[in-house]
Amino acid sequence: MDGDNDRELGLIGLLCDELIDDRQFEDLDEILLHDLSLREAYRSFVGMHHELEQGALLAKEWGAEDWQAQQKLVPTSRCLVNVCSAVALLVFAAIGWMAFHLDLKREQPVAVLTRSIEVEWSHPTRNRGKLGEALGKGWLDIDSGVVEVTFSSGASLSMEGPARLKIDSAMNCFSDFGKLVVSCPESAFGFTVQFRGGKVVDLGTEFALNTRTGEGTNVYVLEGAVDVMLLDNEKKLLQQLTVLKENAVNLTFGKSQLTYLSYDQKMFDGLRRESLVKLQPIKLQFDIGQKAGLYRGVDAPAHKVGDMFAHENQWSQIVGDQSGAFVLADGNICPFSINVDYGHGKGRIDWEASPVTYTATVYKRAKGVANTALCLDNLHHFNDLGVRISGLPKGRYRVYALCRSFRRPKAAYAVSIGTNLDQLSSNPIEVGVMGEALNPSWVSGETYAVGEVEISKTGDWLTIITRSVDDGMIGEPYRNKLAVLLGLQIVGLE
Amino acid sequence: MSSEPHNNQKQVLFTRHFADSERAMYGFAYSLVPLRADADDIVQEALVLLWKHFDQYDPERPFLPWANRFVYRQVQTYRRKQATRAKYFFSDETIERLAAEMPAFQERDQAMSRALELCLEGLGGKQRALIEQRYVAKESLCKLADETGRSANSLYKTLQRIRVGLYRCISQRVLDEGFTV
Repeated sequence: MDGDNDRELGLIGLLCDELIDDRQFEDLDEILLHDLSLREAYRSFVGMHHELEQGALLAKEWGAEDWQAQQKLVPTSRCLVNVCSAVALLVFAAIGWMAFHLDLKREQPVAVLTRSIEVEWSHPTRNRGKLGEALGKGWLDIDSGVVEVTFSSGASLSMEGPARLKIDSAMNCFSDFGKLVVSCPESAFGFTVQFRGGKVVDLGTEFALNTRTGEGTNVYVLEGAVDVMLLDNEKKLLQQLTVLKENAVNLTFGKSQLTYLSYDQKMFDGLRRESLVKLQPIKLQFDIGQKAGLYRGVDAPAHKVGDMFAHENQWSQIVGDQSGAFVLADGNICPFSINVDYGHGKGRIDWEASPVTYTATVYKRAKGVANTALCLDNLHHFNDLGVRISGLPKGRYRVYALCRSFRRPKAAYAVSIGTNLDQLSSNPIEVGVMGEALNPSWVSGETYAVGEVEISKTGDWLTIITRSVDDGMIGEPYRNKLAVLLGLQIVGLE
Repeated sequence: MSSEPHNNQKQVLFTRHFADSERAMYGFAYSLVPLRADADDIVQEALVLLWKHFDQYDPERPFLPWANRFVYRQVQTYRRKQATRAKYFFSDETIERLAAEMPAFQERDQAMSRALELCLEGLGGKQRALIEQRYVAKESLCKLADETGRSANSLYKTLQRIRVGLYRCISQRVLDEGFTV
């Protein structure tokens, strides 16, 4: 090749480094389409780039140990496939074609992605997760934003991008780089975060790490205590130290001693759970009625439609007017003081009225979607029934009102969901006759009503009012004409 | 029970073919899909297809062209799936041309790999150090720029000059070996 193609080689270089912009990429595409010699140049240059990326040629002189250590931190699927090739005969004999799925699917889940705040993942398809998704062993790689991972051991880890983390098990992970905070309940005693040149082991605590390439890892103990261990490149222990609350140390790969740092708790305030809770729209769910009990289930409409996830299984029981601290759907304490107010009345809701409940008996024949703890429980009334909630931060909310008596599948209800209501609106949501009495799934308009509400100022009441509009039980038109509200799911929208 | 020996033989044969062709299959995928992670995904998905269709493979014919058809097919599938998300995908026509020319380049690609090793030896100390920082230590240009007190832009230009030099060295050596296209 002569020197005339510098511009084109420049474009190819930018592409290899993922620095090319859209216009340059279009140019390159056009050039490659029409020029055979540049296609040759492209193939050669890209081939050289990938050969260098594999590192084997350079490693011969750079130092095989360094290269191997580095490769351990770069778990591309190629690495896995190379391993797969080398041991393939054995692997095939044991597990057949499943060997090819080593990196296609994650292994057994050991954690769940429980929080995702303005996250930019580093790659469109790889090393990423979705909110609520079960995660197996593997990498998480973010450019910006915050994710929280809750391990099945109970440990929770939040990390801020740019950061790269490998999940190894419910009790182990590896931090390649970035800032993270780990909170360990008793069940996760001994939870370990490894990094290049060392590891930190929980002793019942909350701790933070900041790993920067070339500068080692700073460990900050926010609560309790941890053991930190400085290791050499053969993982041999060089130094071990128990670090107590409000202390910080630095461990750098290649150094023989760790060093104390000045403690700076504020550096990690934004990653601690109490801060993160405030950053995300809240999700609350109420199990309502005179027989309400703590319902820990995910068989509810917001889960079914994907507004809530499997880890959001915490329900607050409401048996009357209540106020104060509630538990969010994900088990965190709601950072806002919430008020719940019951009311009922004929036409207009009297919010001062005491809750009056029909004598409820458990309907033993409940089937299908009704056969849950939630739906064997209810609060119903001969009048219109209202529940209103204040203290929610400003924003938009989607509300799922579970207002269906499963004893009377042919009944119909009118439901209004809005702010500061004291009676049904002129165009309420209809919850009609159930299409299938033993319906196995939640059906909007049959088993629940859903609406969106804007809370625009402090003190706004998010209000739900229900009315029975048609009973359907022949011969008993009045006795069973009951407004019903079994549960509420309130989902803050982004 | 009688199918087990057959299955084992099939697995052994498949593994042997794959081990022989793996590098070339990746090379093929990299040339069609510039991002390594995308190419890795594609080859892995192609592998699953290859295994599923391995009964149809004619052992009298070379394995690689047969296997690369699956890679190519996966590139197209991947491209459709990623149409709205992926940053870099060439047009269908460009991919077709790159794919069609692949067999002609194959032997030369192997020669290039040998040539790269020799050309790396010819680099000066600083040049080699920069290449190692970029490709082995995988350090970002910004960090390298900080460390060396140079601007990222100037450092990138230097890196690109070294790569172009390497590329030209390789091309010349390959030409000397008698490969032409």
